[in-house]
Amino acid sequence: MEDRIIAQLKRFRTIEPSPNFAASSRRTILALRKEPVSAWYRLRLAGVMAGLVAIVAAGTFLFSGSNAPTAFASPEVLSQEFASMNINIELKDIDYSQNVSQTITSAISEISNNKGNHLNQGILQSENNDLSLDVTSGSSEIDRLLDKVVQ
Amino acid sequence: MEDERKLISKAREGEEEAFGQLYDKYMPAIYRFVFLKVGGHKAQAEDICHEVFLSAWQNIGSFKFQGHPFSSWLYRIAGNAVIDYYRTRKVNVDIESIPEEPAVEMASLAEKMDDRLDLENIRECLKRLEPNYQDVLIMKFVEELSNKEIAVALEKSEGAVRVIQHRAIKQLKKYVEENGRPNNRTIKEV
Repeated sequence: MEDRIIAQLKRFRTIEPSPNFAASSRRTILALRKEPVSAWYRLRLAGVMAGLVAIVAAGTFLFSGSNAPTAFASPEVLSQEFASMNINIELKDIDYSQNVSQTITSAISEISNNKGNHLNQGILQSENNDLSLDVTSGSSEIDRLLDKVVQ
Repeated sequence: MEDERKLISKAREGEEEAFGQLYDKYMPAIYRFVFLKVGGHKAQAEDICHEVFLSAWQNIGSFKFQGHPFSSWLYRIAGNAVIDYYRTRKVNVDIESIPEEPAVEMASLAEKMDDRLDLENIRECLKRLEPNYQDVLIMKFVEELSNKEIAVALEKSEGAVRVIQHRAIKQLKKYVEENGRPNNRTIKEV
């Protein structure tokens, strides 16, 4: 019985679409495809885009106002820029140092507070030693290096 | 396979003739698959088949050649199109209410048959099977695809395909027996 069923199933292979349908469907489908995007077309598009980006970048570079290319050659302008940068760096350092100082101060005062609310005096002393940092050394070192660069 | 790969590559670049050749090669098989899946309804089979190839043509750029035949990809699109078809039909019309008109192809085929099992009975029984069972039987016995090709098309393992095939045949046999011997039935005339 199974063999007969399988044999009958194989006979369905003779089913064919009507030639008219096949031809008209083929024509319609092939006409409906979007414009092909070939590899060569994509390559050309990429080249054009790269060119545009290069032109825009060059334009921005050449016509960007007072900081024209000659500025690169001027030691005065460079020095001014560097001086303003230096001030910014130092202001940041001051702010940072203040924060660090406050944090460390509160930590040390907490450590030194041994009035019964701390448990192990030995551990506290060890932490105290570890936190014996020279707070100002980092900032002064940076300032010294910057001064050296400016000179 | 190498020729097919070249055709696919050209079709991906938008070459109409290349896709036309793929269409000519695979359309009859996809049509048969869809035709049997929609219960021998010719107009629906044509509509779905058209949609399948249109979708394939518009999305061929997303096809990645992984050593499997192009047909596996088409069968997958066709399977989804049939599911969509039934989903839509459920909203608008009850599937059971679709008229059971025997298609011209079925009738002309049946007339040529002098076997004890008639084709229409088989087709009706096939239609009652689960979609997975139908897919495997059509691909295996009508289209004579290998288990590997079927597995790729249905995104299942070859082992699963073998199991489905076994169960599908068993189920189909049961339905045929329930319907009675084909010779006891009158073949619908067009």
